[in-house]
Amino acid sequence: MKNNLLKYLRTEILPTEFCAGCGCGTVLNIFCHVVDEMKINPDDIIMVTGIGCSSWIPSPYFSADTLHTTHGRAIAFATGVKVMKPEKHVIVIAGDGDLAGIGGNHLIHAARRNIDLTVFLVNNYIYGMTGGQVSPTTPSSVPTTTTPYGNTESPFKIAELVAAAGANYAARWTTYHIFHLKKAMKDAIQKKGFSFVEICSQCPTSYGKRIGMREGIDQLKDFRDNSIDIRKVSEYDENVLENKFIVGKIAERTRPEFTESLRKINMKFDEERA
Amino acid sequence: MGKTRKKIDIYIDKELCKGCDICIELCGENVFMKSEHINSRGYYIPIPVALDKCTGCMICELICPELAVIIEKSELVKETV
Repeated sequence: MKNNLLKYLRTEILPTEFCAGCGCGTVLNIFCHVVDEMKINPDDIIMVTGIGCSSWIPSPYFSADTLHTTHGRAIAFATGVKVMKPEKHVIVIAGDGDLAGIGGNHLIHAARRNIDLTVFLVNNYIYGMTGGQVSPTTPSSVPTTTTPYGNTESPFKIAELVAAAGANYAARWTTYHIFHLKKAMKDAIQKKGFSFVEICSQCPTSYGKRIGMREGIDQLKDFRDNSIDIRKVSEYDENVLENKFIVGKIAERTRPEFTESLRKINMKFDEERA
Repeated sequence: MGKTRKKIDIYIDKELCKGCDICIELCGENVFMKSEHINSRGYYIPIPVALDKCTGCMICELICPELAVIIEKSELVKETV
């Protein structure tokens, strides 16, 4: 028996190139479920992505119109697509190195501009594809290829950053919280304005082995045991929260959307000219 | 008279599976077991050994990184207990 969801994928290149136990596959799986349950026609989706392991989710696996862009510029390209084709669902799936590191400025300015994009940031805490270099989300004191004595920097809280920049929707879930993640992905796609879901994901090959979790399942159990609901954060001390995964919906608001405001101005000038 | 419940079948796509064991470990009812069967890429794939215990919670289908697990729920059947 074949999986019904395989119709959304480019099946000629399956099985995926992801390592065994990688969280990117789970994100792909849940995204297929979301598209199937929301009955979105894949022809109405434009996927934009950058460089990295998680950028393989839309390109090549998910079978929709896809832009595979240069490193960090996924949101810049997606902004252009959305302005020209506002009726399409423009969805960005990329990693933490791509969106938070190299394209960090694009991310916060797209959130500030509140353009109607849906962004799924698959956060595996490291530059996994290139061999495990430190990324802006790597926790302090974790040894990586470029910080062999431990990371001396503090990580970005990327979902909070996007929420503070003005996004209409921001949430964080992990690949362990599959049902919550599915709901958050649906909400993010439906929400008008910039919607952002940070998905904490396991990377057994490049990150897990450096923190003593060599299998994907070890990191999933870590997500399960060390997650705190955002509504209960006030009960904990700041230093306890440092190494926890704070999951939940961080912001939901209804600020005016960028392409709509742009179209209103265009219409105003069109009327004056007519 | 026994309880009525949905008949559940679990299929595993042997060629997509990479033997990461996530379904075996996360199943709350221990439905899966690692089998002796090796697929064409050299992975030991899991098999559902306790289908009667499956509650159809969908965790394995949703979390499988390779879309290799399919849960099929069919019409109500009466348990003969």
